[in-house]
Amino acid sequence: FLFPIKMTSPRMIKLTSNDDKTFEVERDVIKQSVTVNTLITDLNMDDEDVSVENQMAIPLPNVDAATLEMVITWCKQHREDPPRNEEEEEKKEKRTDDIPEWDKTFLDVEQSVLFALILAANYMDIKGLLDNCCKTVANMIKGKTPDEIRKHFNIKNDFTPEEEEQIRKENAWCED
Amino acid sequence: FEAVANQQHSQLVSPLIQTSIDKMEIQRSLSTLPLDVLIHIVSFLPLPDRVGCRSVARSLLHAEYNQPLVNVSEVALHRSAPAELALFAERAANSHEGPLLACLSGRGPLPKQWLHQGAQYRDRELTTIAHHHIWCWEEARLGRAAGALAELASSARIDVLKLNQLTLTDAVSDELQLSLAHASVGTLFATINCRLNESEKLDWFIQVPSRGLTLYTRRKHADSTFPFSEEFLRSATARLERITLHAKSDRGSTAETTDVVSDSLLLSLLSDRCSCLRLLFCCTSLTAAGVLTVIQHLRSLPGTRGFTVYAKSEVTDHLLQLLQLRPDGPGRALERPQSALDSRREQIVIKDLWMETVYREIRYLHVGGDVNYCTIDDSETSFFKPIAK
Repeated sequence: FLFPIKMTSPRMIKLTSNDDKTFEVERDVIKQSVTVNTLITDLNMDDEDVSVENQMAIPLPNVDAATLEMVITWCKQHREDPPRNEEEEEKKEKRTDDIPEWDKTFLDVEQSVLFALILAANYMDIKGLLDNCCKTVANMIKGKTPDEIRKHFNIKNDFTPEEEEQIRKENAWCED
Repeated sequence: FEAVANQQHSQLVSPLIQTSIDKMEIQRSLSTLPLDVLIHIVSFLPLPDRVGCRSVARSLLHAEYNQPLVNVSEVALHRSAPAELALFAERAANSHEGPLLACLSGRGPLPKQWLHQGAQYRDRELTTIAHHHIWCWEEARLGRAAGALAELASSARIDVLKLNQLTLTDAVSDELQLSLAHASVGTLFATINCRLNESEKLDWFIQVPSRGLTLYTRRKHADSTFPFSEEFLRSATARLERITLHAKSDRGSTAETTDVVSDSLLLSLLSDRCSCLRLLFCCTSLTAAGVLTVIQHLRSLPGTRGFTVYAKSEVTDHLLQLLQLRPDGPGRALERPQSALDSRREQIVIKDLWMETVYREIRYLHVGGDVNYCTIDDSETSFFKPIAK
């Protein structure tokens, strides 16, 4: 069989944030979002006959423009990453010292921005981004005392002193 | 100030289910994150750091839990050590409406059946089973678990309540009975590890407000009493719609043998409220004629009814003859041909139990009237699955 060789520009997808800003992003870049990828497939948006101008924008009601821009930047940076094998990921040792340098710098942002990214990654189902965000937060927590953690994240302590003591004992037991 | 506040707090509310957590007070903190994400974050932490984080998890859990009514699909109490009970509670397993879990429990492996459902056993502290299924737990002594169960039971509809590996001392029985006095339970499912010398210790299971009961018992010594007396069976069938009773010996999975269940008793048990009776022990007193009488009796009753018994092999052979059905080998499902004029249908299965030659299993299901399909209980058996018309 012979197929005609066709030089085409990359397939673009339109995404709209909850503050009505529209972004055009390469199909290959945004495929890292399981949510968007599923929508594209379900809505048959891979049809090459539809130009990007006539294409429906995918609304992302839980993501604002600033965050979406960051998400797209992250996806562009990681477009060449090999596909994740979730089973393998589950088996892996849980560690937080394996965040790539680029991501470390990228995620060195204010807490509210980081949390917005986490929410977006969770909503858009971008596991790599979510993992690295969660590891970043875990690194903020690591090494701090419970009081410091609560102060850092403005958490109200809902343990009674007795319960806290009990948990300490349990943890000591766990580490034996 | 904080210590005083904490002290006042602990006086006001139960240590396990705190109802006064105001979600709005936890602002711009980790609580803005969905619980599953929070758990994901915490899963990257070593154990001591979880003290602070579990505080967040609990705040969130309790805030969610503070809703007036939750639909709990399954609760399991799992004994991990003689003095400890662990409580797992999972809300609406298939629901995608928010975090599901209100869960307090202890160490020890997850029940196998939950692992089969996709539970991931990450460590002693924390586990997730799916995107919306999050369990986290803490050690709970029996009293605390029972207390939590009482609160849960009084505010929730529970489809399946599992009490696993119980040792039924008087204290445990009393505590749990008290906890469940006002519960609304679909099916109570319990496995009992103890040496059962007195069957009356089981009686409280019948008193729990539920529609069905599944009990697994295993005797540790052959000379101890058979766990289910005639009186227990009569009381249970008079109160409950669905009953499954397992009695196993101390040797592997061999079923117990008893002469408690006679033909007339089986007939009597099935004449009452109970529409699904499964006696998973060998009833040596049953005769083929007696079982046939029971089948004929069920045919005359309205609604859907079924029973399972283990009977001696020669009895099942004789029954097949009486039913004019060919014994075509082990595990054969023998379905009676359906009359075009009669919408009733029934199913009889005579099953050779694996590696057992002395007794076989007889299952009978009768679907009466204009019922198109039926489900009688019970996930354990394929027999009681819907029957398509």
